[in-house]
Amino acid sequence: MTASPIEFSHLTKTFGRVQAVRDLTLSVPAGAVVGLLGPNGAGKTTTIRILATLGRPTSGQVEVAGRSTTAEPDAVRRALGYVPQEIAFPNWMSGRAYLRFAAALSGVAAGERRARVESTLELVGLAEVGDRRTQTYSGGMRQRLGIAQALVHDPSLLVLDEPVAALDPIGRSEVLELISGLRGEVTVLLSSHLLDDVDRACDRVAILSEGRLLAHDSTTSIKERYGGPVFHVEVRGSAAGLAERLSGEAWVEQARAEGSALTVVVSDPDRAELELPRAIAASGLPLLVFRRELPSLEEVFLRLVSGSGKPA
Amino acid sequence: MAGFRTLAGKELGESLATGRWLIAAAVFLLSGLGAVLLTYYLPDLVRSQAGSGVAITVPRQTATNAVVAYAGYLEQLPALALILLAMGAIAEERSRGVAALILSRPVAAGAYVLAKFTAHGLVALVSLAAAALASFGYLALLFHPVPLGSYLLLNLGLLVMLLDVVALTLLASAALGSGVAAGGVALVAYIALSALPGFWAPLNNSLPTGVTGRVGQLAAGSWGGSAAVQPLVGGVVLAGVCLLLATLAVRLRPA
Repeated sequence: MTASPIEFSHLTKTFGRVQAVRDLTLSVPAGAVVGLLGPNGAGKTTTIRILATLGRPTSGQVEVAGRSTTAEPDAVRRALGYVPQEIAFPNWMSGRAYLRFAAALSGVAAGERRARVESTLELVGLAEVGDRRTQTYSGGMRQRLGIAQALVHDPSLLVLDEPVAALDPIGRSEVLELISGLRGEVTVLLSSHLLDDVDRACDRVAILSEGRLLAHDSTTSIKERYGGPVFHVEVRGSAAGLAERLSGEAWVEQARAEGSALTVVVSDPDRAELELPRAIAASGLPLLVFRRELPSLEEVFLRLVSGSGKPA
Repeated sequence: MAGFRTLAGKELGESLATGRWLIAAAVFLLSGLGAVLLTYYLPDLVRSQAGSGVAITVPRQTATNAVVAYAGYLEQLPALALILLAMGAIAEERSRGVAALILSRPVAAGAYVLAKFTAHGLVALVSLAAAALASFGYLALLFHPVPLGSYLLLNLGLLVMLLDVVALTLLASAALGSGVAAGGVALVAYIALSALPGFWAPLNNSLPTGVTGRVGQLAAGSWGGSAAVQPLVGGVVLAGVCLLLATLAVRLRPA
């Protein structure tokens, strides 16, 4: 049987009296792009640092491709590529020189190094600027070089800590596109608190809060299980009065109006399908759009971390 | 040791790219040559500064005086320069995130520390060699040639002392969170290393000060040989212990 790329077994990490990670058990399937979500202080970075062999668990263990991060750290390091939250390179090195250095450190054979460096630079779109010193790179370019140094030794697992948090929208888009493109080739675990980005790039999510795992599944399943459906309604005229009236209903969790658009998060979808059209008709507002959708990841996340969802 | 060659290459490249070699060589040369030249011209300088009617007589300086000054100068400013150059070597890489990128690879913590020691140690070695060579030439030119064996032994003592400075600084850099704090601690440790042996002979005989402190006898050719082994070995052991502790600190808190 092939070992799962990442297995967290009852991982706990404490710093003095603070429990950063509490009894985390999680298995990541091969080839998936998994988002580790959580508010600040949820334990994402601690979890990722332990996975990258830069920290030790207080109890429990983490395995990468069947190898323990504490018992066989070098085997784990060969199997993974790591991109830290704050990424910095020696200013005097060019991007290409840094990749050669990273490849040599990771044990890429001297004969293969040049080809690996060039193909990785191509992959991240830095081949043209590879000879420029890293200090001249923009934030997005530095982040792409960060991903390149993590991929240069052809690892089976890529671990990224908040890879887009410090980037502008264009840089974020470039990096997320790059990460999405790795789906199926490399298993990717990335931490983030930017929910829209995770929704875009990841096919699975694990939600952490105060060091505990609240939910872990495919993005779609998580939305279906914890979010409940959302109804998008558009009427002719202002929907504010309708939203106010619906907010008092027992089957409505939240009703938000923005001009003529109305978003209704419901707790009882069957009842909502009957009651919502009636309420709209009763308002006398002409109906333009009526659509049932899955909630956004943000809505699910907020429900789970605020305690209104039902954790696994 | 996994990764040592690659890491040492990176450190040496960094030494060249950041001008660390030039800074150190300039400080060492200035100190070494300055000591010899100032000693030679001291009587003339004092005479020129004395007011009219005041007679200050400074005896003609000897090669021994110049070598004593040379050793004294090289134990001060160059040691401080090495502390300044090495104090951020680990602490700054850790705080900037460079260390995380390196230590999340199959690299031994010992190789990481040893590579830094090698690069900074080579800077000290080459700079000291340049200063020693230039000063030796001026000693021969201005005074008379000093015994080569004694001069080499003195410089070996200085080198071991300076390598201890580098190792102490790297230990402080690995153990503390900031380069400035590491520099402060390393400076205090170096002052202690220079001063304490003077109060206790057995300690003095087991540290490089046991060689550099006998510079007068060395220059006169009345001390040396096997007596110098213990202080030199003691200095090497001290550097080794510092590097082991630094490795432990990196292993406990890699990044």
